[in-house]
Amino acid sequence: MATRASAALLALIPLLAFGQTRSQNSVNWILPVKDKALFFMPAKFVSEGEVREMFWSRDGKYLLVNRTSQAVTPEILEAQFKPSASGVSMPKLVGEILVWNSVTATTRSIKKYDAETTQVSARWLGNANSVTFTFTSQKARTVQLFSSTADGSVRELPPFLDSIESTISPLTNSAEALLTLRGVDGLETVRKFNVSLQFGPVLNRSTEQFKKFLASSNEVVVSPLVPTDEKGKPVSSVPTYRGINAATGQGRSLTEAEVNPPVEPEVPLKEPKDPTLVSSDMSFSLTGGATRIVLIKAEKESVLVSGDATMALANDQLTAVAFQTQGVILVRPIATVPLAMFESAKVEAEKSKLMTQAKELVKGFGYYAQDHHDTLPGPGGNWKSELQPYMLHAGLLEGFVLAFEGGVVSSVEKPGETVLGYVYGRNGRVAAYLDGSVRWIPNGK
Amino acid sequence: MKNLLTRASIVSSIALVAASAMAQPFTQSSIAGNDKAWMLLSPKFVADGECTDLGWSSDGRFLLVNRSRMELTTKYIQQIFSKSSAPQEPPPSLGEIVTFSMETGKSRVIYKYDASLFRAESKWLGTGSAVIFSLQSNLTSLISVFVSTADGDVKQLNLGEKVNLIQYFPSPTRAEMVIQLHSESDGMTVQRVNSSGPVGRTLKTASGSEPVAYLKNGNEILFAGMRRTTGPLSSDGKTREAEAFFEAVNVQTGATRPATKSEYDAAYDGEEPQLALDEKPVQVDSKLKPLTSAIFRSADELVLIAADVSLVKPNRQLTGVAYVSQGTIFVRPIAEVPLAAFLDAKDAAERTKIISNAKQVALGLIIYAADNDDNLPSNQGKWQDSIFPYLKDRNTMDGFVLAFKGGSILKVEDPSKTIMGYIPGKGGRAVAYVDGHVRWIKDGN
Repeated sequence: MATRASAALLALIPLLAFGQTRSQNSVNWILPVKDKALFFMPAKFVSEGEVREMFWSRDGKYLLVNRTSQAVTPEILEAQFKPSASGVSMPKLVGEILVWNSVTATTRSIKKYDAETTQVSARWLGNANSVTFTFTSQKARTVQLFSSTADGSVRELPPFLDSIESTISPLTNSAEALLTLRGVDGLETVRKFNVSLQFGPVLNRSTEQFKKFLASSNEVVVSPLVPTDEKGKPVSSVPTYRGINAATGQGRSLTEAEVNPPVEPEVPLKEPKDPTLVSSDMSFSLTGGATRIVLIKAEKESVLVSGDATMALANDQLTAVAFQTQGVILVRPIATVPLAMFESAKVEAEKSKLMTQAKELVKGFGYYAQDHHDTLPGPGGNWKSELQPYMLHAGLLEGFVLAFEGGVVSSVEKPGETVLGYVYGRNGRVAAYLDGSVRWIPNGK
Repeated sequence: MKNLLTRASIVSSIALVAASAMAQPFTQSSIAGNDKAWMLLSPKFVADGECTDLGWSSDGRFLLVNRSRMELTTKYIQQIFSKSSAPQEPPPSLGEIVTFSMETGKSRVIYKYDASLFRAESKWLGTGSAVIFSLQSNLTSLISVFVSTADGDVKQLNLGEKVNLIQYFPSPTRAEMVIQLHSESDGMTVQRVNSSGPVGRTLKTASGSEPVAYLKNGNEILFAGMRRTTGPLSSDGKTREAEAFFEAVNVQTGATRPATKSEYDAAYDGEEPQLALDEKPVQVDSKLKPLTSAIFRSADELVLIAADVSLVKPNRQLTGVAYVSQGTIFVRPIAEVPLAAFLDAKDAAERTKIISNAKQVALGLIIYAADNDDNLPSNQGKWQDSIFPYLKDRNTMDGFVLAFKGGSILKVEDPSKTIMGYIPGKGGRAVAYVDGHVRWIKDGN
């Protein structure tokens, strides 16, 4: 396949060989997977703080982050250790719900909260790019429900009173979620709601506990507390389940296998959907505390996402991977290009670069010969430093191997067939001839 | 029972967050020296991009960063490798001179330039808060020099026609510097410069020597040159050996005096740092290049600054350490505290953490029991695997000894006095009871 080596591609060459050229820099950023090449772009900054929860939107374009941060400064910390440390208290733990937009690479604050008194849980509102979250105040025994569009216009309902616990379960097949609210009376209410915070009918209100939503059958699964005899001892050890159809409200009993089909054990890092990709974590320890590295592994090669991450999450589309490193949340966007295109472009770009280099080299040798009675030095001896002054720039002789044995150039019989030397690259070499012509020789020929 | 449990779990998770926020600086990022201790705070984001030089201001309050990055987007990469719309222009490369304030935690862009056309170099203008920077054209090799005040007010300095070489010697005591430059109009000159431009006459020596160092007193610039010795002829009997000689030039008066090699050495002698900085390679995967970890080291302890850096630089005052990790530039502020108070607080924080962990594990066990007909796992088996799904983090169970033999917790006569398990710590242990409450019990009780 013939690929034009555009100026754009040539500019990318140092990046394509990033790992090779900059020994200090461990950014390894291209991963061949089957018939594709994944480009891991440099990290984008999302936010500072500790991640409580982090979710990609269904379309993989937005990242929802529920984070906390504490504005500790060295001055505040130092004051804690002074004997007269009166009046200097640690700053409040502040929570914030953020949405990061991968298209504009900007972070938008949706809502701030007091993380010391309020427990906050945030989710995507079903399959839409809207957000929903609850504030649970243990002291006031209230749960407040919010929704927000991704661009930050927040709606809220008055708090539910006498409520102590809530869970939000996004639905997979609509722009809705289930709200489960447990009151102080021990009763649990399950309802569907949407971004306008309009509720559907009560799907269940009982002492039963919400378990999950089954997308395949559109059913809310609840499980009764284990029935007990008059002394409070459980009478059965088999959990029972009831499924309530979210559309019709019809109930039926479900088996364990229907509710909990056997699944792989949960892993700390979410695995990308492509079966040939495994994200894995390894750790090493220098200082006693372990440091976790996050890799995305393909069959033959791996790409380091971060050398020091506490959590990482790729979106389903594998267009980005979000991670937290030392109290900072970052995203590395991922570009996917056809592998064949990438390979041939790489070879083409290198070839083009080496050919130019060889032509300039030959010119330099020509200038040298003019100054030295038509004579060139041979390999061995100090030919490099002798020729250096005749070269256009210092790096030109890098990777060049002198093949010509030395001597008077004009007495060579067939200068077009006599090799001056080779410039070696990763995918081949360029032969430069005494007449100034150059030829590309791919590896293996 | 169920309601109580749920409520308790919310309360404890809030407590956990508060406790971990306090404990974090002690347990993860602190280092004790001989008479002081240092705590590394969470990193602050400075800028993204590649950076080859980080400069702290002499008072350690500001960081100067010269960053550049090829503005690669996933869309751009995909275009390059597509057949139809391959762009012919290389991606734009944006360079910025940025200062970061430790007080506000914010970055300010002083100047933007096209990094594909210019190479920039930036320095603090001596001890002040002004910055001097130069842009060298990749095409013409000509240099423009600019000065910026701390407020970002930039102006170009007029230093002669066609400047093509420049070397900086920041004053160690004043807000000025001495620069050596070569221009087509004036040849090689040595000039004092402050934020308003050149000051006084050019500095010269009769011998034609060139500046090599600013002396620490801040009054004199050391010049050096080579001259033939006056001693005996060299072994071939024809030439005399050459030797280096030094002269000190007063920056105010221009007066010259002979100087010595030891004055030169003294000018570059650094102070003994309070903490040693190590950069250690760590091989994390045979298929990846080793990562470089940055570590502070005292006589007995190590603390990790960051696990994956390409550049790291603490300030002299040890109030901050800047580093570049995977194309992102960060600063970790550092607090300095008295050793004794630190050690006390560290023990207290460790205790808080153990108590909090014990509480988490106890609640995990109780919730496990609630889901399993009030039965706890046997302490003979791998109970950790059963409890793990009920905990946020597996490490919470570190050191937890399950004393309860297993079986129903409803059969326990007095749950508030029956020990479920404990985590041993320094000077005592955190004991968790079957009702979920935890007490710190000192050794010997």
